[in-house]
Amino acid sequence: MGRPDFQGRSNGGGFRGPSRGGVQGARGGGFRGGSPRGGFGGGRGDFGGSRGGRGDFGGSRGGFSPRGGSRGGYLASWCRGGFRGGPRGRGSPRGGRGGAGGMRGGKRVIVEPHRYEGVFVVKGKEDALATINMVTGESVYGEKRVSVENEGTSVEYRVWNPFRSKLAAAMMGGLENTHIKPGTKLLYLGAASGTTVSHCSDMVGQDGIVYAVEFSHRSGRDLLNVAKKRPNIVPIVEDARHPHKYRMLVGMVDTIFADVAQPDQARIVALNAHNFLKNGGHAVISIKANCIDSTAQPEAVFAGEVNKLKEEKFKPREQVTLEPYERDHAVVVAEYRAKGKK
Amino acid sequence: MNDFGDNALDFDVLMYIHYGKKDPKLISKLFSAHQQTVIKERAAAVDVPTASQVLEFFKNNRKRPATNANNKAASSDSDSSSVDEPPKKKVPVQPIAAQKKAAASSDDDSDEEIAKNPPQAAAKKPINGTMSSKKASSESDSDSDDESPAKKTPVKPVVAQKKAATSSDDSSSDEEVAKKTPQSAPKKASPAAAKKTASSDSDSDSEDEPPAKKTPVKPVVAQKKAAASSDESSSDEEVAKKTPQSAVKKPIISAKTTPVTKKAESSSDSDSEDETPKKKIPVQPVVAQKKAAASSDDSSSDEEVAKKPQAVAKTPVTATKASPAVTKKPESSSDSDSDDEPPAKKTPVKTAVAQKKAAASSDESSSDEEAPKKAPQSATKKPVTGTKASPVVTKKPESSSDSDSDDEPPAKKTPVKPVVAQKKAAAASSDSSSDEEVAKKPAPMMANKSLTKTSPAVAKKAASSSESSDSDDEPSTKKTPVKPVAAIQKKPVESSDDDSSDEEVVKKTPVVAKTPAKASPAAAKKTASSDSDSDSDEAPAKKTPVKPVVAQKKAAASSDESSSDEEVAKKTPQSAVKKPIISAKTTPVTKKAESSSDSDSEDETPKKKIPVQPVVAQKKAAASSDDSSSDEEVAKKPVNVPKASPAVTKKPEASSDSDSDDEPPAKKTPAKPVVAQKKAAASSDDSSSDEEAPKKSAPTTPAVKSLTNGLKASPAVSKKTAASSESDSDSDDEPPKKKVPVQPVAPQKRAVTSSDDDSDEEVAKKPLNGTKASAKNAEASSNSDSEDELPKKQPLVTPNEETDNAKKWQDAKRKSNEPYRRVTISKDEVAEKFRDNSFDGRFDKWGSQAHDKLSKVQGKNFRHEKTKKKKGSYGGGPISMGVNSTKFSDSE
Repeated sequence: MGRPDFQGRSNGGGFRGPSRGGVQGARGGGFRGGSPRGGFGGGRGDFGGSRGGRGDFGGSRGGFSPRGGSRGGYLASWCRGGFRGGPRGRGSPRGGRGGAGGMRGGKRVIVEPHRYEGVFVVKGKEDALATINMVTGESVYGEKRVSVENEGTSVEYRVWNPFRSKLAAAMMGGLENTHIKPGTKLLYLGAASGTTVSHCSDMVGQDGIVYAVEFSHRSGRDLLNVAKKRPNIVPIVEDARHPHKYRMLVGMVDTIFADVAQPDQARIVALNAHNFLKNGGHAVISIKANCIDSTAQPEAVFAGEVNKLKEEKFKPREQVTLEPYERDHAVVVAEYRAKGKK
Repeated sequence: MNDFGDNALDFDVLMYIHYGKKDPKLISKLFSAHQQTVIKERAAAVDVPTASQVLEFFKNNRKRPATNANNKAASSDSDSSSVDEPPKKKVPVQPIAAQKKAAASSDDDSDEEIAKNPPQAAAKKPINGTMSSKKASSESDSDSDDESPAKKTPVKPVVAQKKAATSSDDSSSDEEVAKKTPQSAPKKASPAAAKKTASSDSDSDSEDEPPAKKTPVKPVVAQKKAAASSDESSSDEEVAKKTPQSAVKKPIISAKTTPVTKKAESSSDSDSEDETPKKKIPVQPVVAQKKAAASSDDSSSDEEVAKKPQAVAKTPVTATKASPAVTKKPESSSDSDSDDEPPAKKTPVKTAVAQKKAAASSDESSSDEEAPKKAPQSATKKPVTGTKASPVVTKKPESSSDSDSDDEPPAKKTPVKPVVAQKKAAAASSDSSSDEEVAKKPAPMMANKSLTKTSPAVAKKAASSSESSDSDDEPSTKKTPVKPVAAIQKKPVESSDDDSSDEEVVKKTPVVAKTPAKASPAAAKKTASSDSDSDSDEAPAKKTPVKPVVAQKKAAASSDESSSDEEVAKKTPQSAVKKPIISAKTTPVTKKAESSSDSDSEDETPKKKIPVQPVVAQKKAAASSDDSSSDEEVAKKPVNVPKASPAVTKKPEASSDSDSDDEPPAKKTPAKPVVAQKKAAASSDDSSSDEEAPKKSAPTTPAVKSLTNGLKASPAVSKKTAASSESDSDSDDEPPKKKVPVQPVAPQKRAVTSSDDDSDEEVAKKPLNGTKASAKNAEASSNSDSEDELPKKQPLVTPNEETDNAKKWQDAKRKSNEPYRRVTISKDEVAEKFRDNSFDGRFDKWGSQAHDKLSKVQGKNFRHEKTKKKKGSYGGGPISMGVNSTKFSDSE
């Protein structure tokens, strides 16, 4: 993709500044001003009202409905999504004005594909991970967006902050392969509000599918809102410990990503793997040592979890620490029912 | 009265006579054939005053004390008054043993104090005296010693005969117990309680009260226990002294303390001896004999006991006297050597004591001095000595028998004399004392004294809540049913804690008068000196059958117990006395702690337990100050003057380091003997456990006794051992206490009252006790304490149940101690490449910046920093797209 060259339309494009920037015209410039934040003023999210669960997409204010009225101008390459106000799962503040200072608006940045398919690196003064936004113009959790216009087509990327996603952190940590790429059927355990799921959704693209399992109804509501805009996400608000409850919704998957942070997460992964993971499929498991045994040494906990996976027909492939993005976390990639030695 | 002039109090003779009148069956139990023959000879040679004579004597003397009381010197008066009954007994005794005289003199002091106390009224004063005395003496030891001394007074004669430090010790402890029980229940109880709480000795005393057991034990104890007995006696004496002293008034205490200090200066032994001499002063003639520090102690304890019986006031006095004696004993006991020394010292000391008493005034010395002072001061020490001695003797028996038997004293005294003779002959002076006590307690105490005693005891108990209550309860239980059955079973099983708890319960509920009072004393004794008491008591009882072994075992245990008892006594008394006592106690406690953590902890635990007032117990444990506080509390609660006075006396003793030191030594010595005989020189704990085991096994018939012994032994062990042993000892102490009373009384007494329940439990426990004791010992320190506590709580149930529960608890605790772990592997077992989960900045430049900040923060700050990094504006620089993961090999 060439260089994205943010089009900052009206405002110089840059990143859209603070969401609510004044009217576009008024604010001139700079990045933030941008405008476009479109309307999501308060609601930020496209799904405007959705947050309340209402679901109406684009409801009144929804979508870009210009909350600021016309402000929208714009589009800078960075678009900030609306923040969905609702309960976004973790990280309350998230979203805030994401774009606020961020990459300087208007600056020209280069977007390069990452080693992982479906993942890009936005190179500028400050590099950032990003995925192609499946729903152009919308931010799922207030993340920044970078739009690249190339030859008449514009591609919008959503910045992916490794501090907000363990999968991104694992990528930053140098995981060799996440086994999530376009077309992958992914079973995501512990989807929470759907922030990372949204990126996974971007990664797998239209051909893939993400089964997002979350047991918390509060988080599940956000997840549902994310899924409403993304056809490749199948939200499942169920307990991952009981895969039979959603067995009718999930088909055979290529990869299981687990971020359940439960003491018995190895068992949970195994149960789902036995039900849905294809032979030779992979499980990417984020392990929070304190959730397994807060008194034990993290390394020992990780080793213990690996041993549990081994007992479940998994073959560990690699492990990476999530430092400094997460404390006492590690991501382990294991292959399920590996076919012979490679 | 004539005898009083002689000063020589033969507690054994008094016991023997008393029991001969009250319960001839007990004589055989308490005294060996040899002892009986010897005692008979003595009894024939001695003119035993009748109860009426004793009463008259005391009445006459009381007047003096009243006046003297004002001066504090009045101790003699109080003694005489309180001693009235005792005097008679003492009279015979005096002739018997010069040593006894010394003790008697001390007793006289205590008696005087007690007498004073009653007149003075302030229960606190008596308590203070006890407290002070106890404090003066090493904590537990001194207390136990005090009590033991009272008991020992009778014993002293025996000791003189036997002269071995052991005999004196045993006798002292026994005597103390006996005295306590017999003596006014309150007074005795308080002392006993003090003893128990302070150290197992007190318990043993209370238990001992079951004279029957003790009597048998005494001989053995005297021989084997020698050292231990001396300790116990010292502790008993201390307790007695303390209580009495406290009762007698602070001044007395000061006087005693001075003597104590003197003793301490010269040498623990010499000190103890000195003290005893001082106490004995009235008994000086006896002192001249000096047989041993123990004897002096015994005499003192005897005197104390006698005093106690006479009247609450007297009881305190006796206690005070006893305390001094105890203090002396410990020192001496710490060495049988001291025993020898003590005699010499005693002779000189006696005079010196008189002097000291006059001048005295420091802490332990205060207690000791008090005793001496009281004696001399009150009745013009010299003249008084004779008279005092007699009173003292009577008192001692009473007090030892326990407060139980203040009234009893006369009757007891008569029996006591014989007992003393026996003791002397057998050298199990302590035993005789215990026998006497038992006899006194059961019969006299129950009837006459029980009421009077109970009230005093209650008062004492209240004062030293736990201790007093313990002592009271125990006595009551012990006296009636407890002694025979309950004492044996429950005591051993329950352990000092149980005893204390039981005692406490009894005290609290019973508060009534007699039963509670007695029980409280016993309990107090048990708890305080559960070891010593149990040892002495159990030992005696057991000893009769197993005499030699028990005696030995008891000796060790007794010493420990005595210390604990003393401490307890001191504490309780102290509480009553509060001001004086506290200081004294604190000092003693500290001393004890210094000397040996065991004694302190034991003492503390016992004390605490007894009062049930957790605070007190804790405080004691925490420090001497704590002890004092607890004692104070106890004293306050009981409000009983007698106990308080005893406590005071004890405190002084405790205060004196020498006392505490003495106690430990005494304990050790006894322990050694036991070990040698039974197990050899295992660690002190082992020895204690060993002792218990032997006791149990050997005395099987006395099973109860053996059990009690075991319990006692455990206390003793605890005492012997350091802190670790302490906890055990505590538990042991409790059992001992229970056992002690139970053994002698158990069958008879325990059935009697609520306290009886405790006793019953104890009885049931007896077998269990043995196991418990062993278990406790094994567990040692911390566990034992907790266990003890548990037993106390549950005590009311059944002994067996308690023991079982305690065991279960312990097991559960132990098991539960190991936390559940989901991850059993350790980091070291992880493959090298996965052993470091830390961040490697070489790869992730983007994260290194974040790492620099996040690695420095923790918790809330980490969250804050991380939140800042979640902002969209955060940038970390270039992103590395390489691979940096750790791969698992195919084999993994």
